[in-house]
Amino acid sequence: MRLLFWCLSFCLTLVSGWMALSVAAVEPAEYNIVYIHVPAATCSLVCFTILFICSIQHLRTKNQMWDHIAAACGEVGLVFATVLNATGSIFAYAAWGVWWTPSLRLVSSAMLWFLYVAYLILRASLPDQQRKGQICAVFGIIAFVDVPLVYISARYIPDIHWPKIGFDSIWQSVAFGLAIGGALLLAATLIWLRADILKSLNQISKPALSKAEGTKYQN
Amino acid sequence: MSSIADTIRAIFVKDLVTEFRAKQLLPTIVCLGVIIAWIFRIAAQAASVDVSVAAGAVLFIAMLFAGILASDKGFAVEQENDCISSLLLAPVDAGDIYIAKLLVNIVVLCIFEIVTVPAVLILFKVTVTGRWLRLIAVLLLGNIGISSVGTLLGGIVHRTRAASSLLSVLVMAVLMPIMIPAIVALLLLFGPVVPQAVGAGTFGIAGDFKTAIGYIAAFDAIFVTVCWLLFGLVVGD
Amino acid sequence: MCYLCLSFTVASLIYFVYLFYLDRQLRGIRRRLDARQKD
Repeated sequence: MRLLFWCLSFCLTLVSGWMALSVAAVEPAEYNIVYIHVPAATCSLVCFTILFICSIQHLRTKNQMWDHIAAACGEVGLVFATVLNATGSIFAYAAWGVWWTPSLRLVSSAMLWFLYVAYLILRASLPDQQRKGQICAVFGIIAFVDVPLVYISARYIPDIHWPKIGFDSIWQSVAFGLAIGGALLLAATLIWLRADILKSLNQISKPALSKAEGTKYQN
Repeated sequence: MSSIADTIRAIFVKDLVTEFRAKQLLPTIVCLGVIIAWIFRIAAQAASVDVSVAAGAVLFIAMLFAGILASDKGFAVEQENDCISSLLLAPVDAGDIYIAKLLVNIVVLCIFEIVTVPAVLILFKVTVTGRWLRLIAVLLLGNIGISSVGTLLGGIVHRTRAASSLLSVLVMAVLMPIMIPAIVALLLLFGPVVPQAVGAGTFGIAGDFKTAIGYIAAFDAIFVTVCWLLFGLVVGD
Repeated sequence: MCYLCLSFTVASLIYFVYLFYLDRQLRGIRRRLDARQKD
């Protein structure tokens, strides 16, 4: 099932990439970066939302699986936020001649990255105990409340980032949609994989049981 | 059955009396604030910039570090003789403990500012005649914001025995939305010359003081409410 | 044009570094499971 997701995401990304280079190309050639940049932005925000939902669910039900998914979302979200900031920086140099400038979107994206890093640092520095999931869930909720506040407060700074994307042709919007779809599928697959890895790690670090006992605790 | 106000007052008085007797936290953060202002002043002088531009940012940085230290110490004192356990075993709501610790941090920061703000004003050659009330409003709202997040995260760091340096990272990551309007408000108060926004690469500040104060107040309300609700989960078992 | 290629390279690099990290984790799990089977 996960293999299907991998293949689908790969195909969607390839098709949108091909379209971006041929029929759906944007006028100044560098601006095609947007086909990588915007899907990464969407995915990093979606990952944060999923992290928030999983944090709330973990606090409500105390089921460990929610904690694993939240941890996975933190890592995958960090990857997408890194891609967002890196491609955004290159895009900024191509479009405006500066690598970074304190403008609304750029500040918000940078803060998103820092919030992911803070979440992962917190997770890494807590000693292994059953309350680790609870504490990280609390921080996840605070961090998620923080994201729109950063966006609102940064409005003080005049924004040189394009507010909306205009589509010149139908091909562009299709390519865009495919790129975002491919990236979202990629995010889902990575989160699934990482959550499974964390669940397995959790099971392995329990003391080894004999075969007879082991089957009793299979879950 | 003590009322909420009694509980809060009891913990509040306990912490303040402990601090005034030990005299550990307040001298440290006051020195820290003055040293930060001093270092930035020397750096600004060496860089030959108009020093009054840096005043607002320096003041907020000093407040931030002082607030982080105060939150850290606020829970560190509870580790001695395992006071935190007795505090939690008492029949008080965790939210009341949070509000008491929050008030202690705010008071500590206010005392810190009584010394540091004149130091910054003198060092950076800034005057605020006629704007004292607005300055006090900004500082107070900033204190509330820093303390709200600092108290909750200080609880996390000390309850789980993680490294104290973690607290600085967490607080600064979360406090960004308060930082921007607060620095804008301080810059507007101290009245430096603001460069016009002429395109990429320069930083133009727009907005007036009332909007900035409004933003800080709204964010404070959000943070205090959220942290108050979540505090029980952090220190509970 | 070179910025487009640069950004594509950087993005692919970041994604593949993460996939490599996941691969290491999986190898570690497999190794520990095998070590357990042996005991």
